[in-house]
Amino acid sequence: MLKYIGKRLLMLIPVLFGVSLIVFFLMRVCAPDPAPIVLGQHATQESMDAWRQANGLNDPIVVQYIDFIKGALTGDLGTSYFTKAPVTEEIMARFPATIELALVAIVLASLLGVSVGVVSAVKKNSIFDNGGMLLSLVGVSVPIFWLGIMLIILFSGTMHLLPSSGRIDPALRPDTITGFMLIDCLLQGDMEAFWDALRHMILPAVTLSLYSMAIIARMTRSSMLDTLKQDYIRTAKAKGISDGKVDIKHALRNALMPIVTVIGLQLGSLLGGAVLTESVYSWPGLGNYTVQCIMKSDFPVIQGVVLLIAVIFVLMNLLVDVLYAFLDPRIKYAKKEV
Amino acid sequence: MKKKMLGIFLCTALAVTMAAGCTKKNEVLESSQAAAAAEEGGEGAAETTAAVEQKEATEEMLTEFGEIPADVDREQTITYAQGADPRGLDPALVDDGESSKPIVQMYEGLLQFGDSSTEVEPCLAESWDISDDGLTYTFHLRQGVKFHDGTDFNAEAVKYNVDRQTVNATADMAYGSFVYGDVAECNVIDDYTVEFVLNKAVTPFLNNLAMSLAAPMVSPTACEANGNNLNENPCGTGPYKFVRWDKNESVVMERFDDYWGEAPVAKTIVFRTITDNSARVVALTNGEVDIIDGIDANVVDQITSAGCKLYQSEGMNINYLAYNMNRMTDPEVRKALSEAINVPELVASLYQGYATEATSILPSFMPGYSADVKQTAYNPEEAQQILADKGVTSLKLMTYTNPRPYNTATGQTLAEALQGYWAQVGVDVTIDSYDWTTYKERIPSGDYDMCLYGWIGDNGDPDNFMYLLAHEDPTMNVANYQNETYNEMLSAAAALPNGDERNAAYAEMETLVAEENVWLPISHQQNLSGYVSNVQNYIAHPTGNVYLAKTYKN
Repeated sequence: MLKYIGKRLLMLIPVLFGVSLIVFFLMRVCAPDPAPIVLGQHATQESMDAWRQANGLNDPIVVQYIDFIKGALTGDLGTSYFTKAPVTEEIMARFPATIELALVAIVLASLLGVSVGVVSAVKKNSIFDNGGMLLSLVGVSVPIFWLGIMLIILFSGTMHLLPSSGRIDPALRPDTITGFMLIDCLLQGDMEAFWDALRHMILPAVTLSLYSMAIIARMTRSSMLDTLKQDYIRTAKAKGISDGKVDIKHALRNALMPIVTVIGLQLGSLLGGAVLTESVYSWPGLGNYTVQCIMKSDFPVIQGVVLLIAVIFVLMNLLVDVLYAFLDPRIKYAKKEV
Repeated sequence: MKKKMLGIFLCTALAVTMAAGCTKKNEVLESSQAAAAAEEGGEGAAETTAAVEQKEATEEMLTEFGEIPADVDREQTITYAQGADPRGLDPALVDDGESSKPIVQMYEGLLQFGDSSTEVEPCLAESWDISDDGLTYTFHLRQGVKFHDGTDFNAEAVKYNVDRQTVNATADMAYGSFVYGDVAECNVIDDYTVEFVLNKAVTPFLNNLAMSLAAPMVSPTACEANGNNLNENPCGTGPYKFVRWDKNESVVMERFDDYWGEAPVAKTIVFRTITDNSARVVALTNGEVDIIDGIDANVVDQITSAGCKLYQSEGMNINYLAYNMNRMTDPEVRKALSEAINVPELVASLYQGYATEATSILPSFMPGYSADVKQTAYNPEEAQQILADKGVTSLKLMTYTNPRPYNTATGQTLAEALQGYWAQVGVDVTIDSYDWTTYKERIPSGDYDMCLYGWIGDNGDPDNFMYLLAHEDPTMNVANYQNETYNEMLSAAAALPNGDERNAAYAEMETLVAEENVWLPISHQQNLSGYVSNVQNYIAHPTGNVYLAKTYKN
């Protein structure tokens, strides 16, 4: 198992190399020149040239790339053109907000998605099935930014029930311990702040989870339907085991593999920064920040974020594969028993 | 049966969605029709103008801070939401408006601007003397002022701040050379007297010292302790001191108890970052924040119908069309092209009452502005005649596609409107448009007959606007205007002391360029901010800053 994990981690190297190559060249070819944006309206040809020179943008693109890789290997991803702070610092300041939102959203999506999927499969072609699948169709089709704006208008603008943006009322904000707002509030025993943070979490988490929920529900339904057709299910039922027990213990357990894959991949993409949701709700996470940096051609930050997303994806895939071994005893990554 | 039910349900859902979509589309259509009608000078124009007048009549904007009632709640928090996170909180290292607003609550300079003007007033300097040759400025500093870290404010601190951005300047000091570029030396005379010796007599130097960038004084002790970078550990002498900054979220500051001046009212000020424009408006109407900025004309109704108020004031900027003097050499052609444009009508329809027609380069609140300056008047018949006589049939207009602070309607929209006016006098204008950064790179090529541009004032001094027409760099002087007489007038005016003579000099320069039709000034975009109706004593300064020490909620 360890050997397998080691091998998979080694795979990270070519992946990161490829990703860095693509993002680096894409930014320099497609993105607007950062010099006039950084220097603002006082930018003259002379000052822009001096700035490009100072930031190595006048060097041949291959030299720039080698410099970047050299830095990245020593853990130095450069400094942001705008805040002049190290990229790693900028990313780490915003990453906890993204992780927290992604985790809450994936838990919400998994609970709802699996429940809807199981009910749809068990009660196939019933009103529950049609309702559930309609919901997941809506979930897959509705543009997230539109849903976000609609929820804000409804729950914040019209009904004044929930806050429309941010993570917590700044006046209630607890001291940072872990960077996860809900946990920090609990650790400091501040229930008022905890509820406030939770209220801030509801709309973004629901918005973000809808798409994943839909995917998970559809995957659960089809995987469950496959399993329910198996002979051992019929046998179990013939033995007189109750329907509920068969559905959950025999069918769901065996249908879980593709579901776990989907949940893992969804979590991976949510962790990479839920760009639209974070922007609509001004969630101070990585997705929102990345959009702002793309608008301003802040190359070092964009490169750093994309590399981070690639690492997360690879690791999430690995995690899913490792989980397989626990879920399905037939899968072994080391051939001890042969 | 089930399928039928599902079918009915889906059809209903589809119908509802389409109806919702159509309503929105109709609204958009109506507003674009109104704009089109306005451009044609039809009824739409009359309606728009009426709407503008009505808006103007609704409420007088506060221009001077009022008395603060004795029973005001001094424990309150004021929350201000803006559209981007500050770049940093060290006035020497940043150049953006989002940084500038929190900075002015925490720092002060030797001088400050008036409540809603760009006239300079004493702040950390109580008074100043200027030598007869205009080269030596002596400032008498306020005594008993402390920085937030307890360091004394004195002449040494001033020298430290000036030296930091002159002799010890680093490449990332964005505005240092703008503010202190003409300073040859800064000398400590005694503990509370400091002398600046300049390379040349430049009156705008006083305005520079009131700016929110580079000019505010930072604590030398704090600066040394933080490696010459106070971006995350701001420390000034202002009414509020820094508490925390959660990136992309909020900057929190609280009342500084040892403040030398009148104690600020609110205990806490929070600057929140809400990037999405419509989410910021909802946050205001939902009571999450008290004041928001960065709003455009489309959301004004949403703000006012929720019972919130609008602060509307003329902005320190100019949105203009420039003729490329290297190619448009015939002054009569330039004049005719300007005559073809009905500027008041254009501004009213494009900006829906949220930009003021520019009758001069300088906005009306600035020193040097003169109502006597006249731009070329609308006269399409004469324009058509001249252009036909001169055989001008096709021209190239270069523009940008983005909205800019001085032109929220985007350069593209403005260009299309202008194209319409010129078509009416028989000139076919081709529009070449690029995103802003590419546009800025293409300007030096000079491959345009006319182009659209703009400027946001830095220090409230007329020189800051008028020097653009004398600049050597084509990205600043997009008209490529080179006139020795103008350049001489400009340097002479820069050296004159503030007053009537200096103001008259700028009016004379305005008249000169208006007669030569170098630019066609179009509009001054207004500063718009929305606030909850119980917010009192709120002024949005023409520089784009807000000073919240006297603002309160009742």
